[in-house]
Amino acid sequence: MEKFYAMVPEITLTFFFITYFFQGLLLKNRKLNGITVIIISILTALTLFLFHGKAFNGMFVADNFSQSLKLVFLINLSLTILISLKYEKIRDELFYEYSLLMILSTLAMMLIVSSKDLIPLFLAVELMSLCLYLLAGFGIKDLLSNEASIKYYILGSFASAIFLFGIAGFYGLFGTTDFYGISQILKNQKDITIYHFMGTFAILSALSFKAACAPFHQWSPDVYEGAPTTITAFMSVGPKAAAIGALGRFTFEALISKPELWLIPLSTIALLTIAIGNILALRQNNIKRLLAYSSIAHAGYVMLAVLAASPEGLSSLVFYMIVYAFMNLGAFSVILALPKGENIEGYKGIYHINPVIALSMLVFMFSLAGIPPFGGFIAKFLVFKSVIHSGYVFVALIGIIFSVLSAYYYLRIVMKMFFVILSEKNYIYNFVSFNLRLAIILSAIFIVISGIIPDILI
Amino acid sequence: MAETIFSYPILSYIIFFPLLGVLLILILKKETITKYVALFVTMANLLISLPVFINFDKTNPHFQFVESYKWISSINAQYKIGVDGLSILFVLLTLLISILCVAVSWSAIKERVKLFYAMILFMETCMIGVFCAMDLLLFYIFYEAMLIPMFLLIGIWGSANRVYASVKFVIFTFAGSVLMLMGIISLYFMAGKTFDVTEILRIKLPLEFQYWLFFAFFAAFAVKVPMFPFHTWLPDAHTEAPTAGSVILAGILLKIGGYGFLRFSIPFCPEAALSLKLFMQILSLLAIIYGAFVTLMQRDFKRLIAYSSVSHMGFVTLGIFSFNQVAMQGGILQMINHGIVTGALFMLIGIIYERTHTRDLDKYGGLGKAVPIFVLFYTFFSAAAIGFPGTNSFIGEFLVMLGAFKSSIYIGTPLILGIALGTTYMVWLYYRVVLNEIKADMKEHLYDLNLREIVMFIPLIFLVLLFGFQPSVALDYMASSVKMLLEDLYMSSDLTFR
Repeated sequence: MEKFYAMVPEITLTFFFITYFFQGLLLKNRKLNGITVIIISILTALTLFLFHGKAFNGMFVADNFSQSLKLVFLINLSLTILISLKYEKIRDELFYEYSLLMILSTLAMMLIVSSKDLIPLFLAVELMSLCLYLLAGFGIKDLLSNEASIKYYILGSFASAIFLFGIAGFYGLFGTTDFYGISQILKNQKDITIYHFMGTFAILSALSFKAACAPFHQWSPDVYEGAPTTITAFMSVGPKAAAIGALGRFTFEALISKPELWLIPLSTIALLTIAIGNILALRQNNIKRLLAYSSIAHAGYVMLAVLAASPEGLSSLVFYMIVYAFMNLGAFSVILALPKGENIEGYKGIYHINPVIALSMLVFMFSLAGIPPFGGFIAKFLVFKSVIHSGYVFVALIGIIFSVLSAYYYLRIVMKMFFVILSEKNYIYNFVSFNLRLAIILSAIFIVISGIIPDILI
Repeated sequence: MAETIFSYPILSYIIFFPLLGVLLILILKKETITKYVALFVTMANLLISLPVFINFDKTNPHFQFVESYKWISSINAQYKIGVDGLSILFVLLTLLISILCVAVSWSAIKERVKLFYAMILFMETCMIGVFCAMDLLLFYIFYEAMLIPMFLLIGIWGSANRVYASVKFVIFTFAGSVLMLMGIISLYFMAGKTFDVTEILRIKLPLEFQYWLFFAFFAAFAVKVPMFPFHTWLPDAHTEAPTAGSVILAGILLKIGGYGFLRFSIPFCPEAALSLKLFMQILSLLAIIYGAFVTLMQRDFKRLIAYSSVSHMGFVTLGIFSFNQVAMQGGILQMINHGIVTGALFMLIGIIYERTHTRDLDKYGGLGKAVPIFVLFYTFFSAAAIGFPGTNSFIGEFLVMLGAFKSSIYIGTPLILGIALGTTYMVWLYYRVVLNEIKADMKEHLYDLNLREIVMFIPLIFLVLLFGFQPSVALDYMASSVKMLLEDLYMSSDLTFR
């Protein structure tokens, strides 16, 4: 039994998953089901830090890095379910399947960040992706949503194939797919052949695709725009964190001895992602699309933490993802809370109508831009600190200059909310449901606290 | 470490008391009483702070009233605050200006009153925090957090072109400060993983790194001051901001740049600073002369004063980078003076704008007959801006000139042109506004100052005259700190520099 201790959170979640599977068959009450899922994720989160260790001969590992990222996934799950409790685009009769798929993909993400072997990693990535392909098409009668699903599926299959190709290459080179085994053999190999590069490139590309990093990001704006908003919110945090987490573990544990293999491709990907995400977000008027591009840019910053390839870098990655989960999901909740939240024009004069939401959105936007005293600043600061510590000052410089650019498009939303004064008759008062208010205020409070006393997280 | 003579953390009280006011304002339902709350909080804060100024030991060049707590232990960042001779006067200035900002907005701000006063108080917290922070990360957080209230102040309550001005302000400042952040992180590793200013001072940095660091800090502070090529955000921000915003910008925000040079750039990179002395002096001279010429051409009342700030701040940076006791003290005094005088001028413009709703100088004229009390104050502060003997600016400019001539005759001589031009634009402005004939359509809007408006100026007039006739009141506070700064500066480098 002892060898399964490391897997306790996953086993718990699987158990809950099965229970929920039967509960949902019998009960079709949306509210009840939703609350069950939230309770499930909270209970699972409580088990996260009970056990550390390995299982299955080191194929599966539970360490601080993986457990903290799992916390991100569970936060992601519970907050997304919280904001989709009353979301009309997900129809009542579909809510059960919807939440079921979300739990399953969360389980897959948890397995991804714990895998220390390429084969289980691949299987977990596939499990996650299959759930996401389905989720993206959940706006059943919405053509854009269907398009998003198909597009994501076709391109995603390519990425999976490339991933497998890379694994095959590595197996050919090292005779093993275990991270530790690879690192031991790689350390003693003197010359690096083209096959090393091919294998590394293939795996890096596939994982970058899953994390929507440039130049493999093309699918994401369309998918993010097409998918129902709650699913976009879900996809913009969890899968990204999982893929980048896996990438971080892979580079740090398997390839650390030969930085020449991944240094240039990874820094190119990271900087390109930051540049493209920030530049393309500048002119977006659709907020979902804007957040899609901004999430690309954020993936780039997290990639910088991977590039640092140090324990410090990995812990800054985790901190970034936790804060990012709250600020991004908070921003998506605001989109849901406003009647015309998808278009930037819908934000005009919101401060008059609903000051609390406007102020919370201000917190999210300034935090995403990386302006203190919010959590987003500390997150960026830790990432840049780890990058500079590893000696890539120039890379950090480029990254930090692009973050100035990002301030502009986040500020645009703040400008619409605060600077525009509408005449009385143009006010659209709408009732914001309790679950959305709860999600928004919780996230905003968390962002402020994590910015002022970040010690509670580190 | 704790050498404080108080049993309670007085500086923390001063920093966070306004934040308490912010919470109170946000909780209060009634909009009409928010301004009373804001006035009470700012005035009470000045009262709370008085023991600091009374008990401040002027002979001690080191930090006083130091408080130090663990903050982010994993990266060794501390919540460490204290004041020394360089910063104490700025704290006083901030406390004073905050009260005036509330007073000057009393009748001008009619919309979103709650948010406005909340932002002013939030701003006060950040500004005092910047001047007290002894930890680089803490400093950076206060420094950057100021962007948020300032962005909203300019953008919501500003005039026609406010959105452009607010975004420009944020982008410029942010661009400068992220480079400083890079510098701070690099310094953290160079100095052995610490953000503590006093710890970093003990370490001698390699020369190449000093240049690098100087540049990184320069990017942030040169934008903030603003020095010559980076000044373009200033006229927009000052012109479009509401009166209180302009007063804060001119009174405090610009000074943070000069303070940053004194507190960080020069002590951290002494050799780099000494070898870049001429470069910085020439940039300052360019700012003085160029700023004055551009000021001469302005047709907008507020924009004119805004451009004159570029010129005046040139004196400040010239004083700082002349690296002798007289000039540096003059530079610091000139920062305080500029905060008082330009703040007062912006308040006067705000008051007259409330009545006329125009800043176009072509429409002004003949105010002397229409609003005599206003003109009385206006004359006084114009004279102070010119540097009339007996006013504070005279002392400041004189000290800077003295130091500049001591540094080099070629640096000192162009200053005469700068002062002449400064007199020209202020006198010409005076002619256009006060003398001449009054325009017919303006006459009906004009009425003279009320009691609140008169009372606002009394502390400022008092300070102008006090520093004008008895400058040692201010100079004594900073003398020992400046002396130590310069001694360290010359000691760390070759003595032949002297």
